[in-house]
Amino acid sequence: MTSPQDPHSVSPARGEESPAIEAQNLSKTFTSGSLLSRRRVHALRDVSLAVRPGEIVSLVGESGSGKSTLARCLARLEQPDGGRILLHGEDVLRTEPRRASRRYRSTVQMVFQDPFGSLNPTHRVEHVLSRMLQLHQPDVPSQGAALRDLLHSVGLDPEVLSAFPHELSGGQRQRVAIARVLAVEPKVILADEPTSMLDVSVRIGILNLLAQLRDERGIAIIYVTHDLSSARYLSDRTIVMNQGRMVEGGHTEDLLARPAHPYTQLLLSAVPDPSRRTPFDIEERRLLREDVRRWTEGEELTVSSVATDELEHWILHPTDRALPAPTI
Amino acid sequence: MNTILEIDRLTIDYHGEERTVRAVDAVSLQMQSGEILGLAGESGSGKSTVAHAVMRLLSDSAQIVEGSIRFAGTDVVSLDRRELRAWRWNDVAMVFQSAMNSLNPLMRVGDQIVDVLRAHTAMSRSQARARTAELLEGVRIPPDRMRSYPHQLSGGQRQRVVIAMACALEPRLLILDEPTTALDVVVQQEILAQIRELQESLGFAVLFITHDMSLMLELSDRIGVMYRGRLVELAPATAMRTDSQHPYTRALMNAFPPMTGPRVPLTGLAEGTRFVDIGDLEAVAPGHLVAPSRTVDTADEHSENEVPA
Repeated sequence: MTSPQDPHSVSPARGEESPAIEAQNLSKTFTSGSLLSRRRVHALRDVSLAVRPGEIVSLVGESGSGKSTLARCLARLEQPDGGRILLHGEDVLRTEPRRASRRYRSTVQMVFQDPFGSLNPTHRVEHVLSRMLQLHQPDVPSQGAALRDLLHSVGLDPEVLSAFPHELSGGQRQRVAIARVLAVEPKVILADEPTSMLDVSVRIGILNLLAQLRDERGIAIIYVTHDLSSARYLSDRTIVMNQGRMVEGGHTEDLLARPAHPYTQLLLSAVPDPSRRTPFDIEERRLLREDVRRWTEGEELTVSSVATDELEHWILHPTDRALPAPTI
Repeated sequence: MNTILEIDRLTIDYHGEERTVRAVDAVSLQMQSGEILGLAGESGSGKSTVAHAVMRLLSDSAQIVEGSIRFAGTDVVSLDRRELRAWRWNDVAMVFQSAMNSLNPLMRVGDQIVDVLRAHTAMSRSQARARTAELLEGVRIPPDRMRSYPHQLSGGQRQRVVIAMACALEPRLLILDEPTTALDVVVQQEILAQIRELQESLGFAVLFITHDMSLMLELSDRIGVMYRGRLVELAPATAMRTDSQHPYTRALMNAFPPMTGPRVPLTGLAEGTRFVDIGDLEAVAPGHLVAPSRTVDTADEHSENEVPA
């Protein structure tokens, strides 16, 4: 299914380890409106991605770029219209067509944007976590010790066990949500804007926790965000999405240092940078937007590498356009 | 340049059922006309309470226990309802965090601005319509969108309509309370660019409130940093960028990962130290004021080490 020149799914620099999760040519269309005025939104168009153990991949883009839809498809909260999701080399959309098996859910877990909405307000933290442990790790000899270990690994005191979610701060709630995810010992965590609803004072703490889970447990993490600076801080690779397509991807530092697609340049130009105090050039940004529109409306799009092979930096571009020269 | 806003030892308490919280503690600052002053701090630092006090929009549970707010010589705290009605929008306007959701969903956006103009000025309907088209053009919304309802516009466009509305009566001070927090990065930058364009053409002063230090450094002339109701540092943006003195200011700047330079591990604000015994601002350089404070290690409350800021 993957053609040789489809670099989305080519392995990153981390050797030939097999992917923790892989998506091939996923597509998803949402329809809305009445029977007569039907509107179709292509949320995902031919999206492929492979994430290896111990790797964090950022998906960045604006609202409506499809980044959250991709994460939700991988979490099996949305059903893709086409394509494959491979886990342990097996197409789970074929073997578990209707809903994900417990085996799938104990491998792939999701952390949501709103930690308040994702914890049951009527249960204490202890209930939330121990239920997860009983379901997914029934053989654990001591529940109490396992609970304390869980809390310790997300940097919380055992006191929070007796608290209800509303008694915790946003940062604490997000840590409980992550502890609940860890209770199933997942191989893959999908984190959908996990810090954007949290106060500045605790955001870095959550990002550091995700990095620690990658480094100490080898968990593969897909980090969905519109904040490029946090993607730069946290992730090994970054993929930029626009209108349901992956438009550029590569190793985070290389991608941000040498953005080749106009949409990536547009996103980067919008990141507040204290060292730049020139007036924002609205006209320049309008031209970039125009460029993005022409670029992504091209019917035939192909993927090319813009950097040296080992850097794995690729870009989506229309076939009738000449590639910009690599600026290395 | 003349002083337009003078806040002197402003102290505000919130009275709850069980306890009283001091949200703003003896904050003093001045703003010059045409100046962009940023007020930074995390949630609960009191920055929004200061802004609401200037607009006289404090809720019933809040009480100004001490201090004064003077706007162009007028004592704002003592204005009565009738005087407030004339003063708000004409002299001071405010754009709220989720202002794009504050438009009337049943009215065309153009009519909502026309209403403001007709209520506060002697303009005729056609004059007001012409002025509305100009205002919308000022925030780069085509005049034909006057006939749109709010739901037909994107979040960014709605926020721009609100900004146009706030500028309708050419106020001398515009207060922006996290005006772009709910928006995407690209839209956020376009809106800030427009605020700066409007500020340059109309010459109003801007009190800009956000927790995002990098955004603030980009837009503001001068920056104040608040911590637990106290102003801990006040300095020109250039000095704040290169020579910030208070450890909390530096911690707040480090709460956002940088886009340039080496990738180094950062620690969050909630981890490590907190600041106590915050004194009044003292000058460390011309125009650069810092409050002396002591730091306390939150991991070990006993190891209080004196660190003069």
